[in-house]
Amino acid sequence: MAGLGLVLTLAAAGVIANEAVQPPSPPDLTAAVTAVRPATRGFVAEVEVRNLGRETAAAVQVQGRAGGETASASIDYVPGKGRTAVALVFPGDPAPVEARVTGWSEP
Amino acid sequence: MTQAAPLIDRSAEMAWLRDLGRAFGGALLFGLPLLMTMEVWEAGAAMGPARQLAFLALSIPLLWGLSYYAGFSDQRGLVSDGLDVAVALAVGFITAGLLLLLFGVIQWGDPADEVAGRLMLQAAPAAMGALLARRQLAGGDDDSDGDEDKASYPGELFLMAAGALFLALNMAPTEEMELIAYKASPLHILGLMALSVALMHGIVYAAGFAGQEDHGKPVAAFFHYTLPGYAIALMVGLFVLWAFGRVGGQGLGELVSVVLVLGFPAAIGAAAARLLV
Repeated sequence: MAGLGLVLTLAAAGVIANEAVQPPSPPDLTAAVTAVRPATRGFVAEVEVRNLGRETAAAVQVQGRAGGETASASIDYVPGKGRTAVALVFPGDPAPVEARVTGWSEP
Repeated sequence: MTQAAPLIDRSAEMAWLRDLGRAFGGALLFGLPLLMTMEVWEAGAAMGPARQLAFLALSIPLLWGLSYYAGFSDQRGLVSDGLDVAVALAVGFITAGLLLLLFGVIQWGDPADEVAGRLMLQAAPAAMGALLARRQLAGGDDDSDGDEDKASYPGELFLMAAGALFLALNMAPTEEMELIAYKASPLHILGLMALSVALMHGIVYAAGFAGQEDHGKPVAAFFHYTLPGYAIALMVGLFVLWAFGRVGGQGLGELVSVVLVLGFPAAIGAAAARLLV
């Protein structure tokens, strides 16, 4: 057990130490529409937001546009090198949706 | 109960009722912080069948072990420990159900799977409290009870896991675990990790967790108890985060950071397990 404990503890420390020596990497967010599906009223666009940076973004605002309509959603956190899915709801019939991240804050 | 006794042995029944009362007290003491936390209600409803079953599957052996080391009634043995577990779970479910009803968290007409998830997530820690009740609430008169003094090495590690789980369950549902991990830089996290291990070793060593043979040998105790205990605390933290749906959708670095942040209270819980149990 002593060996296993040592290995696990050192592995965790290694991951963090590796993070510590990397150059700073602020959040870098992208939004991509993964699916558009009809809902009872209007339609829903599922958007995947990815953070390509290693630092975490908080209070991330996502905005989508379909035809003349806009819809928005916010995400509490998108962790570094992580991803989160949000849903945007539009009125009317399914149409192509463009989504983008409009802003975020530091945690 | 082997002697030819009257149909109802009044003093035995009274002792049983007192044990049961203590069990409810323990369930309240351990369960209240979770019962009155919003995130736990939500996690219970949202965790889904796979996580719920995994949680339950892990809870029962854990409760069984606790029953062996601390059980709230006097009888010992596999069957008796099993009965203690069943009673503790009943106490846990009743406590959780009654309070969540009073809080208006569970309402008539809620979907059954949601209610079951909410209750289960609350009942397991409350049942832990019920099992620990005798140790916590019995006062000084039965210090010699409980079997942790004769715990084997795996038994000591098990108690550490139970202690880690108790504190981790209380902290993991809150958003602060993630927030701290995101706010702290890698150097902060490494510092926290060093503090966790150092404090843990201090408590383990001072509280005499490290059996007689390792006393006076802090280095041996460190490798024998502290390091495995810390690794157990981290694994328990990871499991609890997974159960609450906080794993996934993040890079390895951020995940390890959250586990190490939760590992701090989990390590303290693991180290103090002997004091609790």
